[in-house]
Amino acid sequence: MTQHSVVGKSIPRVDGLDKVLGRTKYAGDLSMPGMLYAKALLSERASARIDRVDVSRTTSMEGVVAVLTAKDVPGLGRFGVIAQDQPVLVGEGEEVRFTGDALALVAAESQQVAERAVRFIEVEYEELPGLYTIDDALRDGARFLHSDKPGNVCLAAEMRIGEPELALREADVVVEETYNTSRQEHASIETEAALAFVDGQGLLNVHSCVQDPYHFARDISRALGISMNRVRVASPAVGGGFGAKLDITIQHWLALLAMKTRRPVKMMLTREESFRLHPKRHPMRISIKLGASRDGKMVALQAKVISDGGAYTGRSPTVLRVNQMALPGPYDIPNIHVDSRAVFTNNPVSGAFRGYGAPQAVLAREAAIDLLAREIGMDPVQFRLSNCVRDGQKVANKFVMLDSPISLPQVANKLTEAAGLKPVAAGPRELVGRGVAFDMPTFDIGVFPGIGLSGAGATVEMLQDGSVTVYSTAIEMGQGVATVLTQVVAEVLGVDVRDVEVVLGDTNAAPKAGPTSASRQTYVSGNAVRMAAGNLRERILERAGKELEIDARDLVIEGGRIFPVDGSKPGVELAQVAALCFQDGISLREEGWFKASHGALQGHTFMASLADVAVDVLTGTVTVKKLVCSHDTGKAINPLGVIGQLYGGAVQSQGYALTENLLCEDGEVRTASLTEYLVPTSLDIPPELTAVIVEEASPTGPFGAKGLGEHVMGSVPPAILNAVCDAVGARLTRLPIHPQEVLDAIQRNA
Amino acid sequence: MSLEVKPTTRLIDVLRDDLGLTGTKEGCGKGDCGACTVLLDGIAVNSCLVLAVQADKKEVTTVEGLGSPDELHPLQEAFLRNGAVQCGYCTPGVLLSAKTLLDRNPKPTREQIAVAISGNLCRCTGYKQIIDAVADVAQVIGAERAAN
Repeated sequence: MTQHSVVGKSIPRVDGLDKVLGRTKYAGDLSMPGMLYAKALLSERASARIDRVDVSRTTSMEGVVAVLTAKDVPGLGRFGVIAQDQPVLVGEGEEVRFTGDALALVAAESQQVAERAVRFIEVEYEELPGLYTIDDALRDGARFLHSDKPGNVCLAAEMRIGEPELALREADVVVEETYNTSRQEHASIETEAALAFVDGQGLLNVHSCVQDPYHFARDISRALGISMNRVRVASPAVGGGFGAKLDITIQHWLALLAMKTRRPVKMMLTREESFRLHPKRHPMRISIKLGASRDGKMVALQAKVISDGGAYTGRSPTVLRVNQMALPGPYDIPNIHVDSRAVFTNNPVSGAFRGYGAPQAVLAREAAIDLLAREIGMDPVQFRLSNCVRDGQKVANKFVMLDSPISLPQVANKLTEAAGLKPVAAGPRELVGRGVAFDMPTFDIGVFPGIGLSGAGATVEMLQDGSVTVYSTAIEMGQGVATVLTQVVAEVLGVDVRDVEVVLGDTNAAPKAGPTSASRQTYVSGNAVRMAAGNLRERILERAGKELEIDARDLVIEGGRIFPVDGSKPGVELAQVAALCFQDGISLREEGWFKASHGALQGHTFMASLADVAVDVLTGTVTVKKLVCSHDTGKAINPLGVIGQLYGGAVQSQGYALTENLLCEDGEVRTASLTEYLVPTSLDIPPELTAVIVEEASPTGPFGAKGLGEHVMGSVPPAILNAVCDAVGARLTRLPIHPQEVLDAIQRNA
Repeated sequence: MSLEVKPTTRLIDVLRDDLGLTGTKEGCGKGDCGACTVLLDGIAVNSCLVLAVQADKKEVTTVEGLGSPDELHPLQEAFLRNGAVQCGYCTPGVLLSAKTLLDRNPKPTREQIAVAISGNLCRCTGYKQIIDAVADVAQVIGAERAAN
């Protein structure tokens, strides 16, 4: 096995020092002389026609510099990554479709004036019948929220393999259930913030916490009618993203205000506005039917999926397709039929959230598999393993290319080993249970053209003193990509990690890396910087070889020195060779570009989770006592960071399973604060939280690494659900698991 | 340091806007998330819920006062070593909650650490590595005391 000096080592994150010192600048920390403060007037109705927007009382207020309405929006005036159907501002005679639609923007000399000014804008609404559930939207005769989308269907997609109806008729055992999942809110501790200005060259600069700077530049340029090369988007440090910062929320408004006022303009959302504005995880209703032979071979999967996409297209089409692709999971199921629909409602827009539609699928599948295993009388782990796809086999799901070994048996072994024996001892008034769930998560979903996933570039430059700068538009939002890229480059170039500087997120500094989503950046940008650094290394060795009069192939770089492998000569400092290249006019700047080699899904891996829970029989409260996650992450570039992703994702998943639910009534968010929307606190985490890493190398990942950030979101919620079902001896079918439903289940069973 | 402030100005705004100490973060403005935690005479408070005038004649400790690049506070070092930092937005507040705990109780249990930081929401880490880091420092303090 190759020995690495930097890759595979748990080093402190490269952006950590500034973060513990409080020196890191986030978008909300930025300021400029002459800066204005902006505030948007959001709609008070979720479904209405706007008869009048009267800003006359506002424009004359002292300190107000600009008041803009839909009339002031140039260009297309709409945005969206897949369909441009979301208005920048909703004008008179037009419709508002959710409470995150905006009617006017104010820029003022102070935050206080801006906040006060929006309250003096008068709006007349003409209420329209609202569609607040998927049933409302699909009801015969329901009005169409978008005239070009009959039946309020945003996307209908089918996947059909084999003869599922026949297989289900002939199956010995069939189980059927309907699962409902909640609207999960990202609740990054940093709310959306941006600072925009037009610089001395007339270039529009937008500094904001975003997960895909080039996509923002494209969406802003299209919405406001300017060419993309006139828009620079730069992301400072991002205070948590999880998908919420993948699409425009406020950046187009700041761009517009900066263009109109020719002054720097800043906005930071309040928590309540943040809850209203950014897209959520799609609530889904999944009816699933599984069939198996008496000896435990799964023969068919049939599912009907309806997702609540909210008011605009957002990412509903791709989220729905990921959901569909994720449904069969790691199992060899020859007959599949999935019928999926995303529908429009007057609820908040649904979009990307860690897992991108997969967690809902995994929940339904893994819960139903437990029912099936119980019906057949097989141990749930054994049942799953015996149905797992095997090496050399093709999964029925045509999008997935199985390019790395099937590691699920190993992953499952490690899981049960780490978990120990099933709990038997319950406290007074307690029921205990154990649940498992398996998954085959994916990364770098290159099967979707148009949303920028299928390629990534990065630039690596060595300066004449031997120090190295990496330029990338991958985004550091806490997941650790800055550290991963640093380690990869340091490894390839034989330098210390402290000699590598990573500059991230600026469209004017770095090539397109595509979205920091889909668990893809370690994989795609890791590969891009590895290529760039590799080319650079060759050029440096060539120059060093000339200097040392040794064939470049016989040289190595280690610890900032270049010397012959056989030690025949003392060698030369890397910095000295860098200076020589500078003198000779040899470029030490390289761009790497990684492109998935085929149209199918490039990356997949395996994961399994286990939960032990205790259920209070008087209150119905569920406590997770033990949570174990076992994950094939490929080569762990930085194991400390990998473990952190697993712990953090496990706890976020626990929130999804037990407490998190963004309640909307008549389209209005009813849980728009962090005391009403319950994310886990330090007191809620399982006393035993364990992460196990299995490192089965990916044949195409940098140093064998795979993607991993989102994966934990899949198998943890169903493991918890299955554990609660095990404890109470009854079916539960809804996330979050509500104590009342648990009590009802216990009662039904008594 | 002497500053004139309006009676309605919050402590967080004076720190961030007037003094440029942007290490203190705002996450909700309602005391729900703890990102704006600072120490007022050694006690952790949400600086979004405290008026600037309430800090009159009191010592305010923000993350900027915790340590320097050359001389990190043991908690800052332990946070780095244990992977207790991800996006970093909650980090300043958590550090200060942990500091006030250790100042009063140098040998806390894991449960006591969890209680001490329970007012600080973190959406990235799942808290475990934060608790590890604080426990790490507590252990070092404990060992030092035993040696003396």
